[in-house]
Amino acid sequence: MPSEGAAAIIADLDRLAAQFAAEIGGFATEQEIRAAQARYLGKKGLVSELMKALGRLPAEDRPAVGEAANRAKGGIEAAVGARLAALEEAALGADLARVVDVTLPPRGARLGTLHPLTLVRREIEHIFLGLGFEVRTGPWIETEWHNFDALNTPADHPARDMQDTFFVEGGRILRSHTSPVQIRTMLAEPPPVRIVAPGNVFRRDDDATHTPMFPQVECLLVDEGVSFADLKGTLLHFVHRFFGPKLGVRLRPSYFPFTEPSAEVDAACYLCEGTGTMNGRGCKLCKGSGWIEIGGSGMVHPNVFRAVGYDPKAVSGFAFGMGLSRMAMLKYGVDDLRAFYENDTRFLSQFR
Amino acid sequence: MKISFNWLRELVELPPGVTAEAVAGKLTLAGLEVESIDRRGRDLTGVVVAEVLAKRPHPGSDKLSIVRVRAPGVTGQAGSADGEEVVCGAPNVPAPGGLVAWAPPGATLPGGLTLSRKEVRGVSSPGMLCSEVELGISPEGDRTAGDGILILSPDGTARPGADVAGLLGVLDEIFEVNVTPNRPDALSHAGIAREVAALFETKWKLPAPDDVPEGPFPNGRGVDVEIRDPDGCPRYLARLVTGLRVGPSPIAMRVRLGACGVRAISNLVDVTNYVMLETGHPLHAFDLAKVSGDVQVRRANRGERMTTLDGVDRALQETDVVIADGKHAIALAGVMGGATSEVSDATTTVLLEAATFDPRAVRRTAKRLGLHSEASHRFERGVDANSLPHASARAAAMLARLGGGSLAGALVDRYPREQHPRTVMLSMAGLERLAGFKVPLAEAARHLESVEIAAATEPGDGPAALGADVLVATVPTFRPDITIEEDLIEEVMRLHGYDRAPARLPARGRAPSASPEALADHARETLAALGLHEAVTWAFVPRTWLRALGGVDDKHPLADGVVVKNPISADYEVMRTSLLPGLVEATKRNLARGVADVALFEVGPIVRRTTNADAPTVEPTHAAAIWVGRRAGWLKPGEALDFFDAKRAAVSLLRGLGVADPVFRARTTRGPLHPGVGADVFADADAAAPIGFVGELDPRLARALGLDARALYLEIELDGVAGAGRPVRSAPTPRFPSATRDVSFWIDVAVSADAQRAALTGAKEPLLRDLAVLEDFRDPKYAPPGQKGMLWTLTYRADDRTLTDAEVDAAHGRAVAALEAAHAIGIR
Repeated sequence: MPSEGAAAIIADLDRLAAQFAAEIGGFATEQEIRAAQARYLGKKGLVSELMKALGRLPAEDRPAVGEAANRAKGGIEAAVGARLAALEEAALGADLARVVDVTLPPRGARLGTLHPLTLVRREIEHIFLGLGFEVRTGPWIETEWHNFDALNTPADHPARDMQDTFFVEGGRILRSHTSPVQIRTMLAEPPPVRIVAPGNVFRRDDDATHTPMFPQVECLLVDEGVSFADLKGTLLHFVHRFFGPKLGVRLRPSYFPFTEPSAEVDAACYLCEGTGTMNGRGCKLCKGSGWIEIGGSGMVHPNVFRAVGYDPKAVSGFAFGMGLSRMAMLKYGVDDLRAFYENDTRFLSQFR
Repeated sequence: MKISFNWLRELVELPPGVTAEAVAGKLTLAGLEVESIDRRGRDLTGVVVAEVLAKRPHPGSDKLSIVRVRAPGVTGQAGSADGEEVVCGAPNVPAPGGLVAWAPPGATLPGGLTLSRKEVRGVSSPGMLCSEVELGISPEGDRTAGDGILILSPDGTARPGADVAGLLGVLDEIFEVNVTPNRPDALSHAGIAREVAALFETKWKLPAPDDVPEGPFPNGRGVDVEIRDPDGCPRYLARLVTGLRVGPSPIAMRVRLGACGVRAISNLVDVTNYVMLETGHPLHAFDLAKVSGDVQVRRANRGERMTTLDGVDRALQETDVVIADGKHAIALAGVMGGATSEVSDATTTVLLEAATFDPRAVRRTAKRLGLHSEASHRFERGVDANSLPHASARAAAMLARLGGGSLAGALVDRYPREQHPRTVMLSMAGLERLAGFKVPLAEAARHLESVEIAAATEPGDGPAALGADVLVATVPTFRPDITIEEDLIEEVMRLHGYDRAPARLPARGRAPSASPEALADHARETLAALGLHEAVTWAFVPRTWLRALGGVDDKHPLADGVVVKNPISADYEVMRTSLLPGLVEATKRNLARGVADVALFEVGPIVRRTTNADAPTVEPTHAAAIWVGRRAGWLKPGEALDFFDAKRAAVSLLRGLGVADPVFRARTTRGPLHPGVGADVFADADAAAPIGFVGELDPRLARALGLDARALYLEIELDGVAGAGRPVRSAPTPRFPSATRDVSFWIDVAVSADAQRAALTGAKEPLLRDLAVLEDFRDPKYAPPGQKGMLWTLTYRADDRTLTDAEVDAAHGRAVAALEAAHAIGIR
């Protein structure tokens, strides 16, 4: 039997443990729990205070008191652990109970957009890059020689009327087409040449269907044995990639001073699939013809090769050019050319 | 060019049942694109020829009359012998027996009118009698249409009851043909007929000249022609037609001219136009009474002037080719006739000119004077000298027939520069090389022959040295576009059909090099990712905008743009020196349309002058952005954008392009930015010249450009950062923790954050790894005058151990001491 003193301490210890167990339910934070734990179990805590009396007890009483102390400590610590776990559980539950309206708008700035003319240019560039073409560019301000003479369009030639030209100071002009890039490239590099040349060009037109500045993209392939069949195959590939895989290409005889033979390029209308009719009526896009005009093309004229020092007996080539605004109008169903240059945010933000 | 299908059918033997659409389709695929087909006369229905039986005054009006007409086939009384009474307001109702055009109830007229029975001043009228204008044959106000109703001449076809539209050739299909500038031969009904005949493998022929009286010139010798400038005028034919009476042309001819877009004037003028539309040869009729002496073709004299048909007195240049009489110039060759020799209602004798002129001379003169006409259009492209005699004969005879006159004297034909058919070789191997497919020799020859290019397998004379696959083509002079083998290849291919060419992909070339657009495209992607929308603005801008950019200083580099000499308008006058004006304009438009938050960018060239005579201009690519409005808020508007939003874009853009640490310095130069809220941007601290600028637009500039909002603006010259991208050399990831210490102090407002940073890092403290500003505090309630409160946080770390507090404190002390040594600060 423990002494009376030991029994009192054991009872106090058990009381403290019970008291703690009763108190802990009122603590809602880990901080409060830890503070209470320190109040009971800390160096100067209630349990430690009781245990100071341990030294005055007879030796034979000490194991029982020690055992009670460990029991009290264990009970308090278990209560702390259980309470902390419960609190954590409750917090998790509360966290999991949160609900947001996922249909509210996102936070932060939206992504911007690239201009439709940029998107179309890059798409076309990529098609031709895949065929081994390289991108080449040239200046806006050109000499008449690069823009006309070297392209077999001498002064006083009526073909110059096809492109009403802007003149700038110093006897130079704003290029009226991207074809001077052909000349610059062939002057700088020996054949074979395989380029795609995008860029803005300038003509003195300003009405509903013409803007004084507009983007073109032009392709030139010069090598030994290049023929009209290569031109046709390349155009067919382009139309399949750009408009649709089953659409045909039609080449119509035409005239450009820098190509011979020359051809206008029509693609089968992607809307009516070349039939000319939609829902029993004439297709609006191709005006019932089944074809849409996409550009001009031809075999490089021997005089162009002579102008750049190529031997027209040794190499042949084709060139193909088209207006990017037309491509973008067709691609995106834009019916007003002016929309490309108004820069209205509501128009631009559609092109993701 | 307008081509009448009725007219074409007179020239070509088309197989029965061939429609206008079929002809247009074949022409288009042969390179003569038919852009549209105008079906004329479809809105003129039910109008019939009626015979006038009687006429009596209208009881209720002095001006109206009541005309009894008869037209067999029309239901009602009109078909009977009694006819029917129609109210008519015209003064020219013919006597009984005359033929008129009657639109009975149910008939339709151009403009959408459907006739019905109507009361006219108390008298019931079944439809109306029609004028040429009402029938849509003559334009409103045409004096040749005469006053009043149309009176039909009683020839074999104009019988009572006949359909007026069919009778007059009003029912027609008019092709709008886009003739390319290399094909002058196709600028006429005859030329198109030749093509159609080839495409349908049939025959065509020109109408022969009418058989008309011929005699000597009544008053002696007639007129001689001297060509003093054979280069300017390779051939000139003059023909006199005398005894003429001026009057309106027959109605069928006027219908045809009108359908082809040519206004009828008088029989004399109409004949020259008609024959031009038929043969492609522009002709000119002089009133011989107004020509004094013989005719010369020469270049204009220095200082010479003449008044052209349009009444304008024009100064001529020595490059102009003129037709002159003994006194002065009477026509600008190939461009426009002179006022002094113009035919008039009093003309009785005509000098009919049929000639060819130097295309370049005509083009220069026409262009300089702004006189583009049907004639100059054809002369500029080349008129065939060898078919002139036919055109002259056809027109002269037609003049004589329609004017009741006769040919007088002999034809004068001066032909100092004779044109001959050209010989061009075509090898089948050459054709295959360019076309990519074979065409049998006989087939190629047949194609060429179909358009009247003679094709032989052997040269006409000399040894037959040619291979078996070579054709010798004799190209007629009406085809100036065919001079080399490639031209013949095109000719054979287009007649063979481009659609018969195979398609194949060319063999792969070499591996492509990097795109010159790569840098610009990278910039576009970064700016779009930052929430801006790409804009495209004009390359040319109004001069006033550039002036605004340079303050008022025209010589400021931004104001001094390359000038367009022939702009469409002042809006497109000067090449842009900056992307700013275009983006400001786009911003204004967005704001005006109610878009409150604008964020636009553009990447593209600007044009700048250089001092290098060989390359007087350069076109560096710029990237620019403009913002107006607020930052993106969430469920409510965000805060107003400020300088640092634009700076973020600048840094992101430049980092993306490989400029790791761009340096921003307050601007010291004048320019488009607010004097206190703008920075020049440098690629690095040592760079001498900025690569761009960023900040708020100077409100004075915004006002000058009409922008009524605070705008932020960024412009970077991308060529300035080309090649800045360096390969990344990565540093090892830190393995030991870092510690931070803050320092808060007052400092002179003039000491920039960059200067403070330089001072804090000046001691090259090795443990100091990073530092950042947490606060720039300028509330005058708390800050000492001229001072600002700064709070920096400094991060310390070692690569080989965890730092102790003491080590961190010591390092921090050294950094702060370095700051104190550099600047007067008061620790807060």
